[in-house]
Amino acid sequence: MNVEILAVAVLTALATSLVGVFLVLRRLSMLTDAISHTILLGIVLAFMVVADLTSPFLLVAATLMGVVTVFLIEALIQTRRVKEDAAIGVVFTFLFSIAVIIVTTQFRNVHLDIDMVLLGNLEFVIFDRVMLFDRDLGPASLWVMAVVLAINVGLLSVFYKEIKLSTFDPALASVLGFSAVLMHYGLMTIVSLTAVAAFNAVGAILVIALMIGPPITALLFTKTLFHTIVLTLAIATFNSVVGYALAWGLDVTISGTIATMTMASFFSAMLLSPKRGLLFEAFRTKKQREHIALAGLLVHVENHAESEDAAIELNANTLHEHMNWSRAFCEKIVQRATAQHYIRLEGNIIKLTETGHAFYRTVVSDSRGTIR
Amino acid sequence: MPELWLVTNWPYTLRVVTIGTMFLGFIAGFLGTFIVLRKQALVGDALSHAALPGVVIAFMVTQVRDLPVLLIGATIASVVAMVLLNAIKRRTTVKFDAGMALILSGFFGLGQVLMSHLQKTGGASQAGLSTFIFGQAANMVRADVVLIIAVSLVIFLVLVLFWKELKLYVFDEPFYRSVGLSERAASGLLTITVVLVVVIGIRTIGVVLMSALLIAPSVASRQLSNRFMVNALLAGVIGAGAGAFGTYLSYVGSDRASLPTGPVVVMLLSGFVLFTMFFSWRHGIVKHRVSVAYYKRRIIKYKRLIHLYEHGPFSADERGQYSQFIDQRFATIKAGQVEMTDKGKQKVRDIIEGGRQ
Repeated sequence: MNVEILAVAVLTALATSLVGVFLVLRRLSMLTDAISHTILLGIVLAFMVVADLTSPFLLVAATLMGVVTVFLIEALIQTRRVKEDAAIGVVFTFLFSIAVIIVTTQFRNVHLDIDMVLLGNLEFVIFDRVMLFDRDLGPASLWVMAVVLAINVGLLSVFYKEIKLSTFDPALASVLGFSAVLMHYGLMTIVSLTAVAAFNAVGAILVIALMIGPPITALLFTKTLFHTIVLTLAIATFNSVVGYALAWGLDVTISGTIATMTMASFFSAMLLSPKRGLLFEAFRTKKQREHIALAGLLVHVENHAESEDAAIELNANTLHEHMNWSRAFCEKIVQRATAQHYIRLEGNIIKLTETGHAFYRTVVSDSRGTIR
Repeated sequence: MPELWLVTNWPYTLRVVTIGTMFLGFIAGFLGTFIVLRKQALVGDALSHAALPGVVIAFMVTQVRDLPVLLIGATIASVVAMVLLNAIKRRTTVKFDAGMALILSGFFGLGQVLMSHLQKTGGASQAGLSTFIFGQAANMVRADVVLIIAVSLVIFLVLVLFWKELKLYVFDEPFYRSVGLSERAASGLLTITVVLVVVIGIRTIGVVLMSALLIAPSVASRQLSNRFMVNALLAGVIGAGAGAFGTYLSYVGSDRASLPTGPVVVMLLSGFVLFTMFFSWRHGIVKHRVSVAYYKRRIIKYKRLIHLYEHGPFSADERGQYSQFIDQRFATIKAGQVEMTDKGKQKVRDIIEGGRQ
């Protein structure tokens, strides 16, 4: 295992998922898809000007292009001739096409691989190092991600109140004088910056998983913004550490494994979350069904206990027909009622016990309010 | 170079590829109309990315690189992705777009993992992935085109067969369900057709740009017509036209530089979308601006007359303000009062109803 790669992976996951929380809450998830593709055009255009692949100007241009993408999408939506999702689809494919055409026609001899931009390569980040006075200060990506993370944490903690308000109640935020436009573009600028910084390491497509995956996983558990952010960061760290360990063990691509891990942890949470997980929900539903069936059985017995057809209606062998249950389910419920001493069998006829009567009364008063 | 303006002079490859992209463009545009109206335009994007692990697994299992085998793998992966996406939508509070983003990039990541495993064990080269992402129309062979034509015809026929039901589903889902039709059947049919179109499209135009082929034609045709049937057919025609013309342009252009077909097609489509948004005779921005300015001017010019129409008649002392309208016989003086004439009433109705008589 390489500690430097792991550090880059964790920092990238933290920086991206932090801004991702707000993207998810503001329902802008698919904008990351658009931005992460169009930053390629920013890089290509900047490269045409400076002709240097290592120039920091490339990153600035890419960030700007992300903001321009958002602006164009908004402009299309503003015309009210295109719905939001279609606008995203039209704009990003258009900008991406321009980039691909420029690359294939102009830079055939330059090492500007589109694959590289789209897929990234976490394995190689350790080869691009920062040197200062002949001293090795670690991988450049590590520094870039650390700075971006610091910027994100700084901005979000300074404007925490404002962004929280404008996310959950945009109308009130506008009334109080916080410009929704400024807020939106401010957020989109740091999203774009983060995506640009991260795509180097993990590639444009996997940035999306890192941004969106941890927040939506956290949202399965939490209800307050602060808890969501804390849990998101924890999940992001977990995903990248486990993902890296798996990739190392299986000798496969690190960024891909982290993205897969992100998806896997979301689905495990969806199944296993203690409050809203699908397994527990299924278990709870089954419990409730049995409880209601039990109550139904007692009401049925009480209603027919004194009547003439008691021998027919309360016969343990044919009871399932009268309750409209399957035989197996009926036997199970009868067994349970017997075990809890609610009913007893007289011959084949079911009778309520004293405990059963008491339970019957709680059931009936529960459902009929205070009549009895 | 022979005269390429004539189709009969086209080389065999160009003809084959053009027919392929034409059919692909048609069916993508036609089907895209449904999903854009359902506000699920980006589903195609998510599903096309999600196809990657299927392609790789199909190759790993069969060790065969034939198109149909890979397509089956891609279809299975996309269907699994769609099932998971629906599960997220139905069973959690996570929003649809967030679920889509996760599936899109999670599946793509899984595909990359499998790919890197394959490379390590000495299987496919990276070129496979690159083709998957960007498509390679130029390599289309006759068998591919036959497959594209077959798939698009079948999808077209199925959509036309269930036209009434799908139209209802798209426009009024609660009513659709209330008459006893299955929501699952309609969404399943649309999903499986989108998956099939995406899968046959990936090889031609690539993962990223496939969504443009689904979305852009219907956005353009929506500017031109308000009828669903016309919309869908027009979107198909626009898609087919862009496909064919884009193929031709990229072929002609590749004398000097190799122009990739997919991006050229998408540029054409985006250009056309912009053009229709501005210049459509129906909903175009230019037409809208011009007519708004025209009615504004008329309202300013006739605002006194409108005032008279709504609050009149007024005493003849104010005739000075209406002299112009009296001259034009929109108003008249009767029994010491300024009154509207029938001609004037008609005129005002014209103006305030915005020209809709």
